Amino acid sequence: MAKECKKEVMSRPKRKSLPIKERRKGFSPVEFGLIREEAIKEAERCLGLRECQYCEICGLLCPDLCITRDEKTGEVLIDLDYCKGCGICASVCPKGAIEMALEEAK
Amino acid sequence: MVEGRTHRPLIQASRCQGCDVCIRGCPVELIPEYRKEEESLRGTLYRGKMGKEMVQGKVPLPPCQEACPIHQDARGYVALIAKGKFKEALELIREVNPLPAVCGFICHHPCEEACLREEVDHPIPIRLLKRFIAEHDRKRERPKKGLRKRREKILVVGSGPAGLACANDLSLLGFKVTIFESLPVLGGMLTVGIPEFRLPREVIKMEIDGIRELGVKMETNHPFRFDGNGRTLKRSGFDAIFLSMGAHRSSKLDVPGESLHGVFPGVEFLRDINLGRKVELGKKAAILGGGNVAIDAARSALRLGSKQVDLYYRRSRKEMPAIPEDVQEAVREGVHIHLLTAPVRMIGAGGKAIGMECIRMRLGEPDERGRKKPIPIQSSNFKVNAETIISAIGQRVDQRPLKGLEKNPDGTIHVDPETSETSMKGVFAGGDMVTGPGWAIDAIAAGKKGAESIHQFLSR
Ligand SMILES: Cc1cc2nc3c(=O)[nH]c(=O)nc-3n(C[C@H](O)[C@H](O)[C@H](O)COP(=O)(O)OP(=O)(O)OC[C@H]3O[C@@H](n4cnc5c(N)ncnc54)[C@H](O)[C@@H]3O)c2cc1C
Ligand code: SF4
Repeated sequence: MAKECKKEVMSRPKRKSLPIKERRKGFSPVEFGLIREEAIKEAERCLGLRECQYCEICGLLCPDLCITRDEKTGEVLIDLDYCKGCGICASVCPKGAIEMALEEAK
Repeated sequence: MVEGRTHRPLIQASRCQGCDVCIRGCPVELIPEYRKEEESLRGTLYRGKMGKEMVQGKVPLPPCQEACPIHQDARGYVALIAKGKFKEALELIREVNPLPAVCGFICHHPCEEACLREEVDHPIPIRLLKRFIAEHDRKRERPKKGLRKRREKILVVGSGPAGLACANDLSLLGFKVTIFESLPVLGGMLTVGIPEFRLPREVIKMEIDGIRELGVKMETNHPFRFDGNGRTLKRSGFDAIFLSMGAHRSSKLDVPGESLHGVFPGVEFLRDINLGRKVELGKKAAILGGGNVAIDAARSALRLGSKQVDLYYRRSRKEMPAIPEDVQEAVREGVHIHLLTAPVRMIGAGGKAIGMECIRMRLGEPDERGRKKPIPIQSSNFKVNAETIISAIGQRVDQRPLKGLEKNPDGTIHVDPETSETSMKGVFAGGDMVTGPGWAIDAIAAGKKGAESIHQFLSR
């Protein structure tokens, strides 16, 4: 089922940077990058996380019945052999997780 | 196994209210009025790939993506980062951005300004997330699509972000690309403008190496110029040229005493530092201007031994074009910022600068670009001491190598807004030399657009 989005307020984290004293000594990088945990935490705050929430709306509306769900892993699969490219799934997906791409002519 | 649908829709005439919903919703669009592909539902879903123009206002892009000049799918890669899929995130970024690590360090991030999370607490640090991804996996190879090779040879003049982006996209399309760079180093303003403490050199090198691996030839110390007789393209032996020569000449202050010893133009000052040349700085340095060049010059002066650094800007803080974070850092480092102040003349003794005379300003009516015009306040003049004065009030395009090309009144190159083609057939241009000094990401967007136009031009 679709999850509620994370909306609890987070205070602006203090970012570390090169101490002022050190900076006058040369041209070392001033700004420090994020570490893995920080990056994931910050990314999770995005209001529009575009990942599939397994609501299966796409599968319900697919005219070719080619969107199914793997009962074991829960993953939503699109059978591209049967897909006619109508685009209904992409237009109804509430998370914008399906993108249409033009197939290159072979 | 997937079953096909077995039923056919039949309309029961007695029940139909003619509401149109089915027609509008039908993805196959059998009704003639809905046949115009670009405006159809399919046209919007296959955004920008099907019709010529993107269909505005139908399926709107997320604000961050809309704000980005190259429309990067920020929401997409942020979602992947949240899931810990760093490799996929970098692949998604690379799909449209040839210089992700560079952007991760210095982009002025219009996406963050547009971020809706602002209304909850504060925006997602999209730029830092991109930097994290780009640094996390430095060695990751670039996608090698364009398996189809093409004969045509293309010349890119200048190795700044616009030129690099154009070369990257063209070689992915299979063209043979050569870059001519007049300086001994590659990277344009990224390398000779932006100081190392904001953008480490190995980051630029890594990105440029990646582009070189695609097969792009890069020749440094190779200036290019137009003869002015319109035959330059033919003679060069290339099928098309993309110009991205930037805007590298500092604008003149137009005040007396500008030629005194100790008065430097901003970009030349930064270029000398970046090329490892020796620059002599006084104890007290005065910087004129409010853009990134001014801020970077001030911060560099502090690092090179000036004890006191004062920055003078003729408008107020709000109008400063520099990235606000950088202004903040400069202040923390000890740069004194004096707003609403402009120089009137430089004061010298024995040919050397010893100070300048300034005048206070007030803000008047906004000009045509919406910026408030500064107006001098009569008899508010005062003097300040400084042995070093760096003027960073803007840059212009070097006109010397550009004979025969049509220009705008301010010296930038005139191009067709649709195709980026200059007044010479087969010669395209983009970046700072078309827009005037701007942002790296806009230069990248211009380079990509140029690549697209050259592709179309050569496929005609
Ligand atoms: C000090 C400074 C700080 C900046 N900070 C930021 C920032 O934080 N964020 C941001 O987004 N942007 C920043 N910018 C702006 C950004 O760097 C530029 O907008 C961008 O580099 C422009 O790219 P470009 O490719 O158009 O031109 P450039 O990067 O200027 O590259 C042009 C290249 O062409 C070469 N060239 C010129 N003439 C010839 C010729 N005749 N033959 C061969 N080669 C030639 C030049 O040597 C140069 O290498 C900054 C700029 C400066 C100067
Ligand atoms: S792709 Fe979209 S519509 Fe389909 S199950 Fe996932 S979230 Fe739902």
